Amino acid sequence: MSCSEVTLLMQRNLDKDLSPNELALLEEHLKLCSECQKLNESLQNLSLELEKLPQVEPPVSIVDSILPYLAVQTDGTVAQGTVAQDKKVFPRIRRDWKRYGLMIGTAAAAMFLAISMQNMFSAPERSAEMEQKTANTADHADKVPAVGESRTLSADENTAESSRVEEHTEQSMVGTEPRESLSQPTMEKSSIPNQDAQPSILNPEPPKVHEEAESMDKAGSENAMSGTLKKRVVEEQPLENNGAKDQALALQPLPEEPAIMQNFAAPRLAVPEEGAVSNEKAFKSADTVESKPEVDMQAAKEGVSSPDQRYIAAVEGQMMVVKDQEGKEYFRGHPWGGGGTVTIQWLSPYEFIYVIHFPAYKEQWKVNLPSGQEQKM
Amino acid sequence: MTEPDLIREAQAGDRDALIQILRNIEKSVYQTAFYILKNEQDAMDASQEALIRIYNKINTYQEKAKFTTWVQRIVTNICIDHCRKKRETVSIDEHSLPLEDKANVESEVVRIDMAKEIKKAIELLPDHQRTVIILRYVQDLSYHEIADTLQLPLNTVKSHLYRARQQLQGLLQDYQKGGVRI
Repeated sequence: MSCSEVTLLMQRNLDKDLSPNELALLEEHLKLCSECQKLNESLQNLSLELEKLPQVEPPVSIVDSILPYLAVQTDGTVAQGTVAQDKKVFPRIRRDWKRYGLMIGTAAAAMFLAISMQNMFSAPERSAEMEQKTANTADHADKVPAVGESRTLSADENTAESSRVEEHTEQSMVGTEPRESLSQPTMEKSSIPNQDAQPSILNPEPPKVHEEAESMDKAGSENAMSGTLKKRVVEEQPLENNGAKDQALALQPLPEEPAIMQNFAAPRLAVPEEGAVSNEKAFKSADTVESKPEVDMQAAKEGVSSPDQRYIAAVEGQMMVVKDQEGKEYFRGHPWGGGGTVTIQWLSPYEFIYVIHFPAYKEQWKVNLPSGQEQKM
Repeated sequence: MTEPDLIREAQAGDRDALIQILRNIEKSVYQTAFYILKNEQDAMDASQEALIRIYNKINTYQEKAKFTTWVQRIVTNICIDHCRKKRETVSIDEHSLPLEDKANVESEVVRIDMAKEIKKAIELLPDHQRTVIILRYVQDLSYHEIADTLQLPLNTVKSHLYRARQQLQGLLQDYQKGGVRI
């Protein structure tokens, strides 16, 4: 028997695979061959060591780790094949979280982008809408025999309205508010820190602005919707009467304004001083005009204040000029000659008509402060 | 309850019996996976996958085969598949790491015990040889059972086993020579 054949017997002997005869042949050869004897000892040692390999154990119970993922039928029996894939549970969960995290992140980024783009594109649209609305309102007011029929506002009401406008403007500047602030009184809301606009955009509350226009003193009325949303609703609500219309207009933030009107922002937010409002000699409000349609030059020179008492339209020389309470000029019209008298009628807080009564005829002009333009009618 | 009884109960739909079976085989499944895959994390992954597969496939088990063989077939298939996938992504440089270990082992042999030397040597074996060694010495399976587990011809199993022992012997002799020299 060759040494190579004996080596095979050595291997088989390690596995107790030899017959008695084969075992006898192996032992006989080993007695005669020292090399094979050494090799056999080495293999025996190796096999002994292999049998002593440490019995490793899992660090945690694998069964416990997969139990939550093993489906159970309603009757408590095994739901065969309900674990859809024989995949690793721990790694799969970890990897899934990575994947879902990426998906969530991507979705959030997309949503943010979409909202940003919506705001970006809708803002000019709203401004355009408002300008159009303002023009329509002015036209409407023009058709209604309302010259001189403006509602009568006391100084207190004017102050309250100014406050409301200020508050509303601030809301629109602050942006949107969380839905949780539904019960917040109006006056407190402007102090709520700005938060994510998404909930309000996705879940707008029913519009309450019309009520607000009808009843301005309901301080606790619902104002949960975003300022942006509210502005839009204000525009869309039909106005039932001139008073409501005026108030709604007062609530509306000014549209995108030309450079000259951007200077109005700060004064518009300021509450006029009562003394200035109540000084009828210095400022004649619209109701004064109503009771005295024919305003002489002297009165026009003193000026006629806007409904919100912020601007004063007055004649300087033979030219219409609009200034704010502090004397800052916002509009200067065309010069005219030939004397005559002038009557002034405010249509809205930023639009008015003035009529120049010449001896033989009269000219009627409409001034729009946001555009800084006047137009002959 | 004996293993055959548990299996019958589990196949009849008794979830508790099936969970008990999984608990009984958990350790052996992990051991095989650990020695084939060479690290704890991969072994845990493969063990989970194997146990879930056993949970789902318990009704496909037939008593004519030894249950241990059936279980080991599942786990070794998963492990070998894992090795194959890993090999496809492992660079040649990473393959050469065991050889570097072999070169360095001369200075380490006197400091590590024999079990660690053997474990290192086993890790150097080709997948099938390593698997056969594990089934033979860790799971204490016979030639036939290993052949049944790996679904290989009996002679192929013997060939893998003999070659594996020869290679291990050669590796360990190198270690011992290094140790003697130091």
